[in-house]
Amino acid sequence: MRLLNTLKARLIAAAALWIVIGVGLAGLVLSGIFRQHVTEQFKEELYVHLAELQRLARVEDGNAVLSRPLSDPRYEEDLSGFYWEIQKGSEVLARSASMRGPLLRVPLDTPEDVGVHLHQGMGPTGEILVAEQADWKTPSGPVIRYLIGTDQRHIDKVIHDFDRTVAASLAGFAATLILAAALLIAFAMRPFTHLRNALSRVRSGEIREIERSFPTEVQPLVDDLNSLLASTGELVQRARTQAGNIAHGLKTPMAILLDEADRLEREGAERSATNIAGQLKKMQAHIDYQITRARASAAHITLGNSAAVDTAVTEVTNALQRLYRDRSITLGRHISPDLLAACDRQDLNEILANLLDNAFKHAVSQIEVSARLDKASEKLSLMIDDNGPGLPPEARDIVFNIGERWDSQVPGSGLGLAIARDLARLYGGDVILENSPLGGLRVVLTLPAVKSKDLQ
Amino acid sequence: MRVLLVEDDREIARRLGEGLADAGFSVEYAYTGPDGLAFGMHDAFDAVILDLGLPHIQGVDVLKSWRKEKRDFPVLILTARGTWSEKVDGLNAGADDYVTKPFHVPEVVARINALIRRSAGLASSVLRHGDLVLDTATGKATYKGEQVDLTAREFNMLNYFMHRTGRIVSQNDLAEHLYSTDENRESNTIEVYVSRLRRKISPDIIKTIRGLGYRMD
Repeated sequence: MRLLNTLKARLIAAAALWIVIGVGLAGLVLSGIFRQHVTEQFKEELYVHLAELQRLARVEDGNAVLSRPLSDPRYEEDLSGFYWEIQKGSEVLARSASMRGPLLRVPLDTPEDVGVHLHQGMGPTGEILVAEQADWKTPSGPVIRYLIGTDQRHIDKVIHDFDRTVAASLAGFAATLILAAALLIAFAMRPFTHLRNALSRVRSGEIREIERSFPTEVQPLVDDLNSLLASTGELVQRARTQAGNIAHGLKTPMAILLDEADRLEREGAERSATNIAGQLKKMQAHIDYQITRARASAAHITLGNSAAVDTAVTEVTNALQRLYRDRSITLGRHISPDLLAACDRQDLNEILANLLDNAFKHAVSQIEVSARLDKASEKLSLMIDDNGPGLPPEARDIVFNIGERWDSQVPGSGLGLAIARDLARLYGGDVILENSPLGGLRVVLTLPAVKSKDLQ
Repeated sequence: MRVLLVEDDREIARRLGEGLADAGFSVEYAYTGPDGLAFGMHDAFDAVILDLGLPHIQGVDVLKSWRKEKRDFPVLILTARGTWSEKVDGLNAGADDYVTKPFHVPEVVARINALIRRSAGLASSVLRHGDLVLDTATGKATYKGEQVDLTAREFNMLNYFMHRTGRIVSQNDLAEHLYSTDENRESNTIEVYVSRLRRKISPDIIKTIRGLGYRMD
């Protein structure tokens, strides 16, 4: 029944059923009318031949002679299925040359009846339709009966031939109708197919909204969908602005508090100063983390997220190379330009910047970034390799905790990996740490991919 | 060394400015994007501290306009957002380093020092010129192993010369880089500071080039 899951298939099946029923009934009616018509014609023929037989027959004593054979030659052909007979009582006075065997038996009429009667009976070659008329010239003597018949098979054959022709043409007619119905339904349903494609393109991030070229019946639905898409977009934008405002609003007083802590330190209250500064850094870390998360959780529910991985990596590495230009690190990028991640552009930058910043901090001289698409799972994997000291396996879980840092010699908030992994997971991806063939750490970022046209 | 500080929050600007002045910088303040933009376009600075969240014109746009006009002083951006997108945009617009709010003032001073050094092509915070050694991070100077006590302004001037050894520095340059616009910029005060440095270090540490200015050889 999976086939009938689509509206189109259901409509076509229903249309086909009605067409078959309608055409079938039409066939039955046609065949019935034709049968009646053919039988009537055969009867008429029999009446004409019976009249001819009576006209040509001369009955004298125990004999009957035709002045000439009947005009229809089939009565002369042996066992042709066209027979006549002239009977007197149970005695045959004459019969057609086509006839053999016992006499044709038909029920006897009442003596007064001089009309033509039709009977079904058995003839020498099967069932036969017989026209019969009695001659009552001598009321006391046995009656002379004229019988003429045609095998039922001749009638049946004509009807059968007709039925076959009609069935074939009606089947063709029905097939044409079903095809026409299917085409019509497919045409009528085209806006829905179009809408489905447009939605999947929106989902994959190829387009931001559905184009406005639908029939008036569908357009309101499309408009509603578009405004829904737009409002989720606005929601995300609002969430971002709010997150930014919260950050800005909190950080200014925090900056002042931190400066006060510095002053306390200069005035000799070193312990208080260190405590205040430490707590402020923790507050900062949590604010940053929660704000990034809040922003992203608003973004990942929107349809149509798509970001070119190569562009994002280029943007982030350009910035980091500027930041770390004293480190003279060589960077290799091996990413196909049409690889798209189903992820908000800013969030992808955030994830990449956190991961790549780590790589720049720890690499000795080399960083390699590569990406590939797993077509089966529709996910892309981005590998960031560095030739730094790497991380021992026991540290690989700890570094994902908020505020945890493995190497306190290198500056940082201890947030980067936690943010990167949380963001990746919000989008259905992940961040995994491995050993790099370069000797340092390999960070594997997986994210859902956008099915780009070229990659399909 | 003259630093432009573009920050809309006056309290933060004041505290950071004080910290910079304590470290021997002369600080110009701008509190809006357009003001900061105009300052950076027309005045000479050794470094700029630029807040990204500015009223009227965004910090990133101010920075882009400067770079477009080939204003190539080192720029340290201040960001409150804590997200990388803003830092990436800032760095790609031409910033050289960033500090996230809230920050330690000494950290910002250290970053500015590092940026100025880097822009002069110097890697270490310790500058050497013959027997003269100047640690820009601690503000301490020694000559032939002996400590030289310097006031903030003397340190600032020496720092400026040591970033330009072998080059002629005019009195105007010095006045621009050592004083804020609202300070008295009489050129004879420059001579006073130059002679103080000669007295404290060595008479021929800074040469007078007639009609042009001074040079540290």
